[in-house]
Amino acid sequence: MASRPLHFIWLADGSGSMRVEGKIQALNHAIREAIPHMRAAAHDNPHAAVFVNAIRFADDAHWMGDKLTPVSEFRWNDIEAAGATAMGEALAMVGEALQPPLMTDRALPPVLALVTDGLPTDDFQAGLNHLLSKPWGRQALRIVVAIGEDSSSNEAQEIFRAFMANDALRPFHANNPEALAEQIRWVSTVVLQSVSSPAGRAHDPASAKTGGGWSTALPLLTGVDATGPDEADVW
Amino acid sequence: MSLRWTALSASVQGASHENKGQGNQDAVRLKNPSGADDVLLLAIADGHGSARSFRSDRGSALAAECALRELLRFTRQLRPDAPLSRVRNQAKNRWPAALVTAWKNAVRADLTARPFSQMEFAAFPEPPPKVKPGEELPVTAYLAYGATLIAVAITPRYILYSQLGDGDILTVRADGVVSRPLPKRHEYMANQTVSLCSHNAPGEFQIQVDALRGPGPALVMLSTDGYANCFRQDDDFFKVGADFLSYLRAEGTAYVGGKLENWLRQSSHDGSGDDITVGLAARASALASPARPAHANLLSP
Repeated sequence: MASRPLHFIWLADGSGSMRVEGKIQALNHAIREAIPHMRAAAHDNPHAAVFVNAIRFADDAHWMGDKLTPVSEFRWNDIEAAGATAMGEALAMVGEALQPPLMTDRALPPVLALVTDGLPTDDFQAGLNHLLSKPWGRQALRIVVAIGEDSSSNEAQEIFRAFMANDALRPFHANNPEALAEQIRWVSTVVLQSVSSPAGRAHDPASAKTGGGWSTALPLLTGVDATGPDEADVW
Repeated sequence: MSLRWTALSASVQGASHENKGQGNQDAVRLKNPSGADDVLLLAIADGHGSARSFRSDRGSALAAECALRELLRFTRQLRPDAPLSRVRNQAKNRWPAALVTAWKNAVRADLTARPFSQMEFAAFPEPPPKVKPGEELPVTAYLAYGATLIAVAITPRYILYSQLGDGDILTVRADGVVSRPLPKRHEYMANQTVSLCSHNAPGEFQIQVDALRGPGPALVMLSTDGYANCFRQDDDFFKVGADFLSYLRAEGTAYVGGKLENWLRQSSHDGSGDDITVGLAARASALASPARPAHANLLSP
């Protein structure tokens, strides 16, 4: 007997703009701080075998560790901020990975958590198309943690909507380190718990319009308010 | 008259559902033959169990009940000597539509008796759908009852396998070789599946009618997806089919029937955490040769 694999992948923005006002330090701290909570959430559901990994993207995109790293062994190595924002390359890279042998029929839907402060500088659409051309890329729960005011622009919101491709989901937004830590912790725990539920989902265009896809998780995925008391004073 | 086939089943609440206080969303119904010329019917259904499918325990029960009733009607309406080509044609063209219609009517009747409450739709933007004379229910009403279905009819001349959505049918030959009568559909991934509430449900059915010219399979096993998801790979899952046959031969149907629920509960606990339902149809003549269980996959977490 074996629990079902669940792949949780951070897509972390390491571009130069993340250096401004300590955003990259806040990101590193937030993910590092969330790991014990993530382990606890995974421990609470022995029916899912959680694997965690990350892709850092800047001038280009790189996997930060082995693709099959159990959550119990996952360590966050702080990333530096420098260069451009190769978000499209990161999406293409994760799409390439979300195939057999990493993904098997019995896997739970993977979670792709995009953490970024702004706009891609490469061909985002080509990367997204590649990700969504893969069955597991389409099935993934794709969520966004948007950092800072720049990520509220219409252009950025359009990018995030395209990535999530689900009208019922909104990006998590953080305008200061405390809010970022809270959003990251939420994503690491509540989202993880939601996805590891073995509830079935009807796949049908008609039902998808009414939230038949990720409806199980939606109340949880949109229910957090972590803007924090000082949202205007940092990012 | 001796019975040529006998069926047994069990359905257990998933270990993860126990923790959340969610009831078993699966259902199983069977009809054992009353004589050698009678038909064996077996149906299992798996309710979605998601937030949108909050009545899927009722939906799966209705599905399994409708399947038995419609399968019985189907097999009786065909003459005993009907050519198999006609059986196949009818099985593909008539039976799925009849079943989906019956299920939708059953949902409508259930909804008439127990209308949706405001509370049930509190988390969703639209108001609760209501049954109105002469009007089709919206998809959200059927989605609330959404369930997959696997149903098998074993007659003296043929076996009809039918499946809508995820789950598994395995057949085990007398020599222990396990196979699938219907090809596995790999698009059922990430807990996503077509089901009775899908837009084109009748067209999504997989159907196979096999003639029973030789001895046929020794065992037919139906299971909801929670069972296969307990196993790392298909090969491990297939061994379970052979294990069941071995146990049935060595210990008898009463023994396996008595143990089945515990085995499934243990599998859910150690594996997928999902509800698990299994239906077994065993050919009496294949159980005659006693043998000790060759594997212990059923019991080895």
